[in-house]
Amino acid sequence: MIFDGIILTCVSNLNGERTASSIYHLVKGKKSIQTIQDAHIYQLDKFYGIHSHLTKERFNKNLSALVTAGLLKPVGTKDGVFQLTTHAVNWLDNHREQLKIDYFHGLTYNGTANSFFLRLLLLIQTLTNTKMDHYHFIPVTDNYHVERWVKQVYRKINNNQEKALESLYIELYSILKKLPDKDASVFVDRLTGYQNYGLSTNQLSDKYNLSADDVHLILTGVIHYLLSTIQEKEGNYPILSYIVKDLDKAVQITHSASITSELLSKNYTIEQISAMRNLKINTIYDHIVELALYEANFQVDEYISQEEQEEVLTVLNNVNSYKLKDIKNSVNTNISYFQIRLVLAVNKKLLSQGD
Amino acid sequence: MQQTIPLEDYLQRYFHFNSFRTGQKEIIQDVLEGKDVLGILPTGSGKSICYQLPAIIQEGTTIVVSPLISLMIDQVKELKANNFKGVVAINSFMNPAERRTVYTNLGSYQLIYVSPELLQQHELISHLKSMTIKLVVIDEAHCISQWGHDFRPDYLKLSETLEVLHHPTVMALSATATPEVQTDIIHSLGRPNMHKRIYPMDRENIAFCMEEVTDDVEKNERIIQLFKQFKIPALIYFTSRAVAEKTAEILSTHLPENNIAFYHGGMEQLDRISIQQQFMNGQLDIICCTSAFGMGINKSNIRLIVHYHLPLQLESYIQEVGRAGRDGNSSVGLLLFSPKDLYIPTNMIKNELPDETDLRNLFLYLKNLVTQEKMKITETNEQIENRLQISEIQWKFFRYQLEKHGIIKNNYIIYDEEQWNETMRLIQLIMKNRFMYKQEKLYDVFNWIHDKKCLRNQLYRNFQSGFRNATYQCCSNCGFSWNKWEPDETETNSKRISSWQANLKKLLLIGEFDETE
Repeated sequence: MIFDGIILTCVSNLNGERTASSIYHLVKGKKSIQTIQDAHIYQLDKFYGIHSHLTKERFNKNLSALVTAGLLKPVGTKDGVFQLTTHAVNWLDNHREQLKIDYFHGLTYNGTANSFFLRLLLLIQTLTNTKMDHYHFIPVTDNYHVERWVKQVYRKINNNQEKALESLYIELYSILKKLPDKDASVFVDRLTGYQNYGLSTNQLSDKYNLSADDVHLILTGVIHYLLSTIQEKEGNYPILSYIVKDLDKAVQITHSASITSELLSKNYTIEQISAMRNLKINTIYDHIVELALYEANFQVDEYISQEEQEEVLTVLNNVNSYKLKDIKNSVNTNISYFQIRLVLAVNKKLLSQGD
Repeated sequence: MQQTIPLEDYLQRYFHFNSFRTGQKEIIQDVLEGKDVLGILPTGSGKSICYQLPAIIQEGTTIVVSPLISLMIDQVKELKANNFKGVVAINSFMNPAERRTVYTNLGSYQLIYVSPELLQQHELISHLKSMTIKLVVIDEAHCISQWGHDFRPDYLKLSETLEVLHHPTVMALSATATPEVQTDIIHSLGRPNMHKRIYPMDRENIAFCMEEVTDDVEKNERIIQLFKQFKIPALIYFTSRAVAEKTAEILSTHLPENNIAFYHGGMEQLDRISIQQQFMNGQLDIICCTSAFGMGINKSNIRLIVHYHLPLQLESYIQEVGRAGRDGNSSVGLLLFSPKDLYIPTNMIKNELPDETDLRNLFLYLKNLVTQEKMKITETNEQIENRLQISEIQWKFFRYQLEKHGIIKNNYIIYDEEQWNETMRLIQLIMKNRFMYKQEKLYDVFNWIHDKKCLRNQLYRNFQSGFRNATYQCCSNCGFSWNKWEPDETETNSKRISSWQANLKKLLLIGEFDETE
């Protein structure tokens, strides 16, 4: 049901301007500039990357179930574009409470949530086992970085497991108690301790009568909730904030884009870079849009004049659409798609800095 | 060679065992004397000690080639837990930076686990070439044999690798290998003088039970009835993931006293570890699984192995049923089959191998590239698999054949019409032979399940001469009776539902829960 709610919310915000597969890429956390830009433009950034285990097949199944249930209907004859039915609007209103939408901060925590959770899992498993003098256990994760981190922390804690566990209990308890019992319960059942392995996705879905998708989403939601609560008042949660401390929060630009950035700073032209790297010009354009989104001092003027920028912004307000084609049709033909995307990227940045 | 300390002392020091199990010491002594050895040891007999111990006490590096990444990683963890740090597993899950770090320090490891795919890599080979490689271990060596039930084309390139590594001592290990597979292993590795150490794989504490039913509904009823009678740790093997999932659900509703879960290769890592460990820990009683479950599982008190679908070969059956009763106590292997089941395996074999259409498409694809004068293959393996609609293994098989016959060299196509036609015919022949071979293997299974003679005798007779008599009951043809079976039973876990607050407290060992258990 949570997943349904998220799909419906996305469809609603996308306003018939994007196909359903853009929702799939969004929740899956596709590292493409288009997806990230859409997340910003349509204010769906909270859902970015919150369901990385989703498959296209399952997503399509969910989608057609929503159509069958009379909650979604196709827009005109356009393939893959949907809009909400009146029924769906009411449904969203009635279920707002249960949808946990406020838990999610996808774009902010998508990069750190998983590492944070794996660290927490392995730390609890290690502390509880060693407290009971049990040193031969199979770790819940074999992520190399997580293992190395826990090893370091374990050395620091050095036979003070009892105190560390007590703090963990106090901190986790004080955050989880703010949540509905069911959500807290799903989260706690997932944890592994001494001679007590956590439940699998499927076991949780049986026990709580949830779909596998919703189990994933509740877990992700609770993790995001923990992260945002910790970030608000780090002083109240010394152990938990220690776990996240060195995890890089910022969404990183892709490796490929950073190479392009380096070459640009050496004054190579876009065409030269494209030839040197054996990449299409459009790929280099994507990189530059990515840089425009994330680099604080990105010089957009180098790619489009001030007047033209203003023209795009004016049109943007008039047509009231983020659809590139709509904008392109209403501006001077000299202005390219690439330039429009740059203006949107930079402009979005300004807006989100404002709020 | 000079050997002042008895091997048993090392065994005690590094592995905490007092004595060797059957075969271990002989195999270890062989390699310490520099002899190549083929070791066929039953599952659960401690194969890994055969190479881990020499790796620890010998100078130079030991390389273990294993197709099972998760098993590799588990072993590395166990060794590290036992304070042996000079060990590393190189696998495709590592990111490039991690791999580079490992490569530059490669000389500092005594024991290196690697997948057969990665061992074909130039960068790795060039590092290994400059080191002293004392021993190369081929784990699951039956994968090298085209007749093996788990053929891996990458294994065929191992003999070349051995040459590049300056002819180290070779240890080939398997839990299952018929005489013809043994010959094939020795031949493929190019070591005709390999010392054979073959140990019997019969298990005297397992009784074999064959039951014919009309359909899956009756299978389910039978299983439910059994688990109402016995509360025991058990595995139920399926060939289909979907049926494993579905059956786990059905059993759960009918057997509320049991904790039941499913396990297959399509699950995410975290879930797989948690199901596996819950079972090890006694939190779960019954697992509905595919063959992906069990490799490296070290649970000693599994009492019953049910086969819900027919195995494709007796070898894989012996391996899977061998996971029961490692503690030596009375256990049972139950095979359930219905007349309808006889069609499923033939189809599975068909899908496993590429067929003539695939072969024709392959050559059309290559010919097309030649006509366009694109002699370099630029598509990735994955793209080619998609284009030809074949599986990863099928493409590897084709590719190996193409390289072997000089049609592809260093990723370039070499065109020679006559050679191509000849090769196409050869590949066709190989495919046909393999299909017939697998078909025969399947007939062995069919014959066995319908056999009226002692099932124990008939199961093992192609693998070893003679077998030990059953300690407990023998088989359903020798008068096996469920009512006379008295397995060690497990206690019923109470499925008490408590609040998350209490659970969290208990989990983190806080307060009054501190002293429990």
